[in-house]
Amino acid sequence: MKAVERVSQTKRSLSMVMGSAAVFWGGAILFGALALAVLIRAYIPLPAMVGAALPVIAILSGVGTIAYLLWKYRFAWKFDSVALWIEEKAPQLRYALVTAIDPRFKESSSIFDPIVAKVDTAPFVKEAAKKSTLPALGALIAAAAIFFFIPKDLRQAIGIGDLFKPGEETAAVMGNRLVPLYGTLTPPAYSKLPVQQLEEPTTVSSLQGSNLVLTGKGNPDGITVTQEYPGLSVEPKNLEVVAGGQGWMVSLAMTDSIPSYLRFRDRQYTRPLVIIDPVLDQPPVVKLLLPMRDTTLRMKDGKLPGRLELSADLRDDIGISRAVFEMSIASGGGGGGVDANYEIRDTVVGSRVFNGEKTGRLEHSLTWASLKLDEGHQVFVRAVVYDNNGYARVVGKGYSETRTIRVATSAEYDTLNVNPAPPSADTALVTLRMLIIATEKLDTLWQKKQIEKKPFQDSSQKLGGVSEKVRATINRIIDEQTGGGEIDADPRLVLARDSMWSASRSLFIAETWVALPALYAAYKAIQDYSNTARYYIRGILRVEPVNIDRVRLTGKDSANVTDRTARAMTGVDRVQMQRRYGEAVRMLKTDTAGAVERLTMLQVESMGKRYNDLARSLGDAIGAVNDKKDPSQHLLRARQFLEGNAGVLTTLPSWSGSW
Amino acid sequence: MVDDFVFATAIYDSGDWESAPLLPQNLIDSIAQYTALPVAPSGIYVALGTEEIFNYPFVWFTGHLPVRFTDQERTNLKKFVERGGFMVIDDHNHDIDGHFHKTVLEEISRTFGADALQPIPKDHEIYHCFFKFKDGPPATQHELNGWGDQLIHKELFAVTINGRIGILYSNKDYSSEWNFGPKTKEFMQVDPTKFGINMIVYALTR
Repeated sequence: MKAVERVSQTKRSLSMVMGSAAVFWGGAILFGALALAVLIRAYIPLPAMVGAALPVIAILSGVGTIAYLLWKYRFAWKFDSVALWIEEKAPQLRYALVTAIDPRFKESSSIFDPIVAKVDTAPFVKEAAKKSTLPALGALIAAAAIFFFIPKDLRQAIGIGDLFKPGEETAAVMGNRLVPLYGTLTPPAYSKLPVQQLEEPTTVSSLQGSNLVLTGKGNPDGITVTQEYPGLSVEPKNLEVVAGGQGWMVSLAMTDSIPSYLRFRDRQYTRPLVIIDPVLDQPPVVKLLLPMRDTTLRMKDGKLPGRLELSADLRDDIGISRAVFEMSIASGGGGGGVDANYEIRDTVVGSRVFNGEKTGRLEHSLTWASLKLDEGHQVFVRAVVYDNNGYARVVGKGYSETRTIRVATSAEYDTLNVNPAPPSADTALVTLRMLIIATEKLDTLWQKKQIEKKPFQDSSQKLGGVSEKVRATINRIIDEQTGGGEIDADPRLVLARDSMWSASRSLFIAETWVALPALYAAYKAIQDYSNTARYYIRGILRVEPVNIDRVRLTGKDSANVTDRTARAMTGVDRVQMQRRYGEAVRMLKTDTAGAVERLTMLQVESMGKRYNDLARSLGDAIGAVNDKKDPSQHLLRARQFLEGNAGVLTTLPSWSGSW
Repeated sequence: MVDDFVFATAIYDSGDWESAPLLPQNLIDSIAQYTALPVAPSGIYVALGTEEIFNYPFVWFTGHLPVRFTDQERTNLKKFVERGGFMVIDDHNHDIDGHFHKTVLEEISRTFGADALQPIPKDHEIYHCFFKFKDGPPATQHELNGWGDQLIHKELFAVTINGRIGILYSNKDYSSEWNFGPKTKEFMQVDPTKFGINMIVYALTR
């Protein structure tokens, strides 16, 4: 092999070796820098530009390293330099090689070729590869291994695309991705309530049907969100956590009617529970003002003169959508079964669309003639009001009570009046009004000295007798209302009765000016009661459960309680809540976050059971703990609720001996 | 696993469906007392116009006021009966000249055909499937006291599909007769709710 060929061959091998070494070192630096960038990004919160620039810096480091080493190893690409490098490695050549390849000594190169041929350059190249390429390859493998050992989600989190995201602070990905938490609460469209932005929400209280979107930073992998229902046998639901917003995102349609809470988990991290408290849209309430009561009309010359005036007062907690008067007109043909002479006509009048107002008035007027009534016909009329609630089964629609207006038959004129008696409270009102007028008149006469003392006293005492009768009527109303004392009397009726007692006493001693304020107070109270008693709220009835175990005699016999046995003061659920409350309070000193979580679960459970006082007290206590204030007062109130009020035994305990 | 029997009361758009609020717990108490049927301690109110009605094999339906079904209610009632449901429609007015009676009959005719509602004989299975009532349906206090239409109705009516009662119609006003707290039965010589057991047993076993 000639000297020139030898150098050329060595140059090819050497350039490959040194080029590989440069590339391997560059790769090693690249992977190492990327791994470092990932770890920095994962554990240290950084400004957005810095965080996003880390991978770019890593790539530039790798490329720069390659460029630097290629420059450093540039001799390997130069023919002369390679020849000198061979001379350096093989001093026995005594510059025969560089002389042989020198163009100036071209003619004498054949002299040096045998000398050059004696030296093998392959070991030199191998040695160079051993010194340069192998360490570089090792470094590359090690750096790549470190990089690929880092979890995939962390590696993906530092995409180069982040560079173009404008100024947001990036969270430490490996830290708690559940903090901070932001939310967007969108009430149902029909409510026209504004969208709310939430920051670190603890309780989300919104209309049923609202949509809640919670977002946090970081990728969604490994984050779980469950919706749980404490105290109820409802299975927890796993909510889907997806990428979106500023990182991860979870959506919840608040279609439940019961409270619940969201539990968040991110590997070993948690965050305080978020209470979901759906507010139910109440059905609208409608009070039929006109016609005021059921009545019977009589025809004159085959016609019904006058008009039917309809009026209803409407209310809703969110907004009224529309309202209408529904009428059914029944022919009173008599005869049983499906006789052909009995018909019902249904009609709707006075329909009015509302624009979501909370209160409203529905009015309509029509002539009796337009209803084409005949003797014996009956008109049933009621007002119906709708709200826009799309989430309830039977609410969303409110009814007034139904009034019946009957057209008397001609044969009925001489018979008993079939008008139903007005409600007792109305009767009392009429008499009371007359009593007030009489008392005012007598008082005026006395004040103007237009009546002698004796007749004044006599008259006043007579009015006292009437007053006592009114009081007796009110007592009767109270009896009706309470079902003979089964439930508490309406406070307005109690006020009316007590005021009437004062009025009677004053009238009996001829102090009309003292009696009058009491009469006014009684009148106002009974009028209030009379008005509100006409409200007719349609809804689901309270269902009293039957104690099946008691009926079947399969349950525990609680009748044999002795005076040594502590009576269970409260229901089973409340006893269990007491126990968990005690545990939570005991935890307060050692594990505040755990205690707050337990108190929150109790709060949600109490909301579901409508223990509103307890829920409020627990909420206040949690707020106080979070604000580093003393929660004792709130906790005390909660405990008072759970344990019930202290009771006093009015009788001796039952004998507890054996029969 | 057998689900507990749930006593359902129908909600319908017109009329006063809630007029017998104590009846469900009274019959639930009787079921617990006389039978071994697994029974839920609380009844439920379910809207006839919703799909939910199909979850309940036995539904009580009563009221005083005129009844007008919506199209959905009519469709659901037909489906309910065709799928094997059993509905008791009880005239709370106990008055064949009353609005409830007339309008309900009209609605039944409209839904199932003019001749669908037929009287049931005294030896019908419903009168002996649990307790024995050899004279047919037991009379109510309201009938015996001459209230309402002043008649003692000797028979009940039914819409029968495939040999099985789908709608049992009564003018006897069991809704008044049984509308009291269960504990009151302790003071009664004869428990008037026994026929209610027959209705439920028939509905669940035939």
